[in-house]
Amino acid sequence: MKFKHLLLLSLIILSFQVSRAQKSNTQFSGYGYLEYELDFSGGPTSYFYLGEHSFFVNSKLNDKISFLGEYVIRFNGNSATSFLPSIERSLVKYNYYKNHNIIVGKIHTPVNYWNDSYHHGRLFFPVMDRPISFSYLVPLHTLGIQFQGQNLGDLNFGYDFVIGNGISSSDILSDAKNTSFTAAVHIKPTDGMRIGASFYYDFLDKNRSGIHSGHAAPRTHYTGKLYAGALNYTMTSLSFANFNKSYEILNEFTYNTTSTDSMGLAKNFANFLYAGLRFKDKHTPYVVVDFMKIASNDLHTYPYEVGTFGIGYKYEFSPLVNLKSQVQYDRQMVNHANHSIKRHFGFEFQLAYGF
Amino acid sequence: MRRITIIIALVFSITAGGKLCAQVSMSGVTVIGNKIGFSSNTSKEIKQIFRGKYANWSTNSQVIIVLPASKSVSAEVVATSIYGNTVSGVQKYWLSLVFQGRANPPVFLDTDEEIITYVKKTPGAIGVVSVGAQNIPRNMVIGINN
Repeated sequence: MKFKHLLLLSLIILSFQVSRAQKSNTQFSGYGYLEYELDFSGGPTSYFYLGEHSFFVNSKLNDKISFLGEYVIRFNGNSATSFLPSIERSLVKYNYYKNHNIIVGKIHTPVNYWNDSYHHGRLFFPVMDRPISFSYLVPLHTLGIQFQGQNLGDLNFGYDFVIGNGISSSDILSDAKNTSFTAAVHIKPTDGMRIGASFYYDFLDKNRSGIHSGHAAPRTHYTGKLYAGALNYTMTSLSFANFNKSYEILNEFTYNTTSTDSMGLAKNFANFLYAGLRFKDKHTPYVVVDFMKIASNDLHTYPYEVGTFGIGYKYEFSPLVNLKSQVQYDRQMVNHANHSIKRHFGFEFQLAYGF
Repeated sequence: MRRITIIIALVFSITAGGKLCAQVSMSGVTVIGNKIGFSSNTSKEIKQIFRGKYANWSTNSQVIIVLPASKSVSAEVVATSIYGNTVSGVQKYWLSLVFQGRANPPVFLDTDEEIITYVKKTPGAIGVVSVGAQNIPRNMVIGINN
């Protein structure tokens, strides 16, 4: 009996020691937002909007390996509870040499400044919403393997190379014969400044868009029959960001091509410009100009022109709470054949918070 | 001639001003470290370390940054001296960097004593305390060369 007790005690002590040895350093945090919108486009309407809530996990598994996860719950009218969860990021990072890492898992494709820096963190957004191109052109997620280097040399050079499932894949399957490829470089010559360029390539054999992978490519503006043949997809981006104590500038230029045997090469582009003036550490009045044009021979996103102009004001209660207000005018040319134009004018408040 | 003299004086004053800005020392703080591979460094390099530039030391051990929490009495002097920013600016900087997945979060502690104790028992840790902090082992103090 004594031996059994001794054995049990030994096992408890041993398991405690093992758990101590394997103790990970894990931090949980979250980000969410609420909005109130006044819409003047079809007679005044107003409503509150409960935005997506992002749950963020960062865990140091040992000196060289860490885990990062981001899980989002957002409104979805088709769900029984009106909300659906999604895995936005889930990755394991191995720091194999100095500032060089290998990352496997689901990542935000490291194209543009925005997708690499903000994505779901409304608290960090300089404006109310993400650039237009993020809903149409930018391959938001990639599930695959990433080679990353950062803060190299005096200019803080960084690189990201990714191969992974492409635009037409899901989180568990890709029926494409090839993988997508991303190459991105940047420098950070001074505090707060980042200049970057990236290139993305994918071959879509049936021109499908994935389910929460790659990008969704909504084609609600197009009512014709969708093309289901082979298509080459490239995206080149240039970004300039400078966020300092007195002013903030972000410019994202996106150049996208799609090529098909029937319609040839379609050239699309988008540009997002944000400029803000900071004063007294908490106040930032700003302007935002965003524009996207999809060529008439494009068979992936389909012809479309949309532009936005907004002026806004951001007030930071603390690093974890801010309030943005924005007046915005949108103009969409939804049909090139008869030049049908939709206009939208609205006024929005957004309370973004971290917890 | 007078115009040229004024222009030269103006250019010189701007250049000198720039140099002065670049050479601002880290006044009011003491940097401490435990087995980080050096006992002194330049203020520029120290600031880059605290900004998360390096993942590992030359000894190959992991860089662990230890900072005063936002309500600590030394938070403001550290924010100004090391980051050239406000306390909330430093918080935002780290929130953003960690959210991007580009750095591990620093360890934030409430008092100088806690920072000294943590660095003392953690190889690879580098911390910063106010200049009057007591009971710092001499071998932990990192010299700063401007």
